[in-house]
Amino acid sequence: MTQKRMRRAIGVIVIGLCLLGAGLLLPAIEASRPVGGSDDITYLPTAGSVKMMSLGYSGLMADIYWTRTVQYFGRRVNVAGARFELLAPLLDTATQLDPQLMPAYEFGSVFLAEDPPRGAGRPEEAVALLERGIAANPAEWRLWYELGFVHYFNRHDYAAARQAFESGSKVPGAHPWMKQLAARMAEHGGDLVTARFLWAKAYEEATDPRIRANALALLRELDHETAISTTSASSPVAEAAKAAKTVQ
Amino acid sequence: MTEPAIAIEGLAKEYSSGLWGRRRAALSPLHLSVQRGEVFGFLGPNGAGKTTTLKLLLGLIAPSAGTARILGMDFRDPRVKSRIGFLPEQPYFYDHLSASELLIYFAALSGMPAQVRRERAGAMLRRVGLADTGKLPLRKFSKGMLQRVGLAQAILHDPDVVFLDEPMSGLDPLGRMEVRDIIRELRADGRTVFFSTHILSDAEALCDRVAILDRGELCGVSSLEALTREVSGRVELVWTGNGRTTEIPFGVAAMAPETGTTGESARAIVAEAVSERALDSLQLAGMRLVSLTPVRLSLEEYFMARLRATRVSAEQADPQDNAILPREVARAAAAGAIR
Amino acid sequence: MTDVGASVVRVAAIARQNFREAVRDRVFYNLISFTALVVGAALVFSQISIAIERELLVNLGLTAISLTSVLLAVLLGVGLVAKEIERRTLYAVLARPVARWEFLSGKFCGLAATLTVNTACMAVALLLLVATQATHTPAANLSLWPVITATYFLLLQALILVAVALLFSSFSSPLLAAIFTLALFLIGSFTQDLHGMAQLANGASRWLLVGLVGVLPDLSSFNVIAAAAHGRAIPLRLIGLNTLYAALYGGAALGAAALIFSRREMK
Repeated sequence: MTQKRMRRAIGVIVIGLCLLGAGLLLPAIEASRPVGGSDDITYLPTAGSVKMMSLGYSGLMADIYWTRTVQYFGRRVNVAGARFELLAPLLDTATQLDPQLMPAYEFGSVFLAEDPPRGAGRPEEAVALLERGIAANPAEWRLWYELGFVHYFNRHDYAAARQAFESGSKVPGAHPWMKQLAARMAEHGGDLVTARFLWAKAYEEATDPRIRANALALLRELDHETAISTTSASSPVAEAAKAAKTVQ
Repeated sequence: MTEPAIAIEGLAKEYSSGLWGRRRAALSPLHLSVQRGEVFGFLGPNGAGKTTTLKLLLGLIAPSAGTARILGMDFRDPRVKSRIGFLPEQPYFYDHLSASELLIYFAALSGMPAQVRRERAGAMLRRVGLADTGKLPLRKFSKGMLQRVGLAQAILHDPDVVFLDEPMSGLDPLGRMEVRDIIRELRADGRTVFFSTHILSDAEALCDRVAILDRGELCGVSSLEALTREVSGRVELVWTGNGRTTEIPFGVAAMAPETGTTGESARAIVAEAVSERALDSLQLAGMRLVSLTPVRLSLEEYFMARLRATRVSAEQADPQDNAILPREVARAAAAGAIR
Repeated sequence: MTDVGASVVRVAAIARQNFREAVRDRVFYNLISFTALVVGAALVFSQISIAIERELLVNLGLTAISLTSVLLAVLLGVGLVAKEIERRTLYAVLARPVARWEFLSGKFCGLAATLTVNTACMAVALLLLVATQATHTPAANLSLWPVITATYFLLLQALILVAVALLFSSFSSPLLAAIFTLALFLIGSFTQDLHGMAQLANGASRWLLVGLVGVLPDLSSFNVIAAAAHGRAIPLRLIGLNTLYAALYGGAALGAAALIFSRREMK
């Protein structure tokens, strides 16, 4: 019977090797596909049709589309000349499948708003995404905060930013400094101190370690800029924007 | 060639059942040997462990303990398989094949050369009386016909030992006669036949020896010859009136549990010990004795006696079991099993 | 005869018997409904859509082939062994000098042959339709190779599923095995997303996901229907890799099924 046991052990090893071999083939298969990977989606079904096909499991489909969005973005970010044609449609699909999918609004708006190569450089689409998110989730003051952020840093529209922070501050449960932010927008639209304040809040509020690290780096950058701006006469807003671009 | 055809050495099977894996013995360690050329009947009520034993011998299930030798080889030896045949209980086979296609398929699996398969299949079908079924698919066969197809596949490759699981079940009287004839032919060819049944008359008609199994325990093994030679300690008296009216004298009636009259003659069964006194009574009454014969044990009586003996001892050993299966129920079950 | 030769004879006999049973059980009747569906749909859609008749026909046809072959593979695959146990035919087979792995391989080969013939017939019907359509479109689009390759991939996918169905049915009921296999098919078609999640995750969960992706079949690369519909060439390299992948993964599933089946109690 030991012979039988030995044959069984050999069988298990062979099966393991087969599985391992199959697993090792996957990257090669991935590389030689005619339709690239899922990051190279040639066409995107509309959210409505995906919803229909998901047979009611639209939450799961939303998560899948959000994952695809992150991958899509991840493969293009910091790549010179990358285009982000499908970023907005992907985010639209994910958020239409699950309108309560907060990360898709919060991160998605950043992906869209930042200038290339750190983002798609499409702040208008970020604003549209956030406005849809606010319409679907009126109780989420953070979406107003993100909207104000985009208006301030990416669109340099301080009036709109003030309005966003102010509207957000009226949402029950909103953080008290939303009011301060709105007030600051009115007085010192584009100064570095305001920029620093915003990033400091972003640093304090963020739970994601990567966002915190990013905010911290930007804050250091800004402190450096502030030191220089006392001797140079360049616009603080432009400096802040430049700082945002160069960091990371 | 002195090795028995089948030597079962303590084969046992436990099944674990239920969520907690409570172990239940389907077969207690079984010791049994079947000689070459014997027709061996494996008797017992339904659920006694007959099929379990057959499945163990054929390697369909793994034993919890023990081993067996078939034709002198370990029962798990692959070479054994080409020298044994098996008829499963109530086989269905493949719906869309004809009987001859099925046999050709099984012939290929038995390792027969391609040239002889068709010829052999035809011969086997003639032997079991199915030569004229042609292309008729098996799904249109009656139960009896399927049973015969099953027999044909079991003996197709000329096996030395044939295992038959309930070969008579579902057959009409004619079908049973035919199966009996085939088993007798197998014995005449010198093959060993090991078959399980709960129909005692079949076993009585065919077997050289029988074993009785009940609830996984072997209750007894006996050759049929010894069984019928064995007297029960009783005698049967038959007498006539000798010109007068035939009557049963009071002295006889008092000691005989079983009496009766048929036309001119009367009969009574009395214990051997009191037969002298019974004869005296008959003489006194002026009756003429026709015959005095010792009563032999029938297989049925043996079967019931063995079953009862084992169950009674089991009940004494395990009073809890008594509560679950009272003796009366057990008896009824055993009686039902033998029809 | 050598041991190997005898094994091959037995496996072939079981495969042949299984194929014959499938044919007589009218498994191929689905071909008629398949052809009717594709022809009918193509006629209807070519009336109402513009310039994509060919794409539509190929998309529709290959999708129908995919669904048909997946369903046949799963539904017939889970019954391969269960039916024989239920009817006790397996007892008569295993009482012969047939090893359990030989029985399993024979059953697999028989169903593989059934699926191959079935898929080939569907593919021929589709190709004929595409060829008639192609007369209306530029000659550049005429290449039928992508369609043939896509069909081949669908067949490979079905064979993997048969092996998986055999694996599941070697230790569970046919119904559960069918559910497991279909679930694996669905997950297998989404492994791309699992890959994505694995890359995003950290630490232990990442390794868990990587392991999961390794054990699950990656079927997404077997679906090149969209590429075939657009008449894009499928790289030869992918054909080779997919074939090798199917052989390795299917072999592993079949091997595991044989290991479990060899210890199974035929109650």
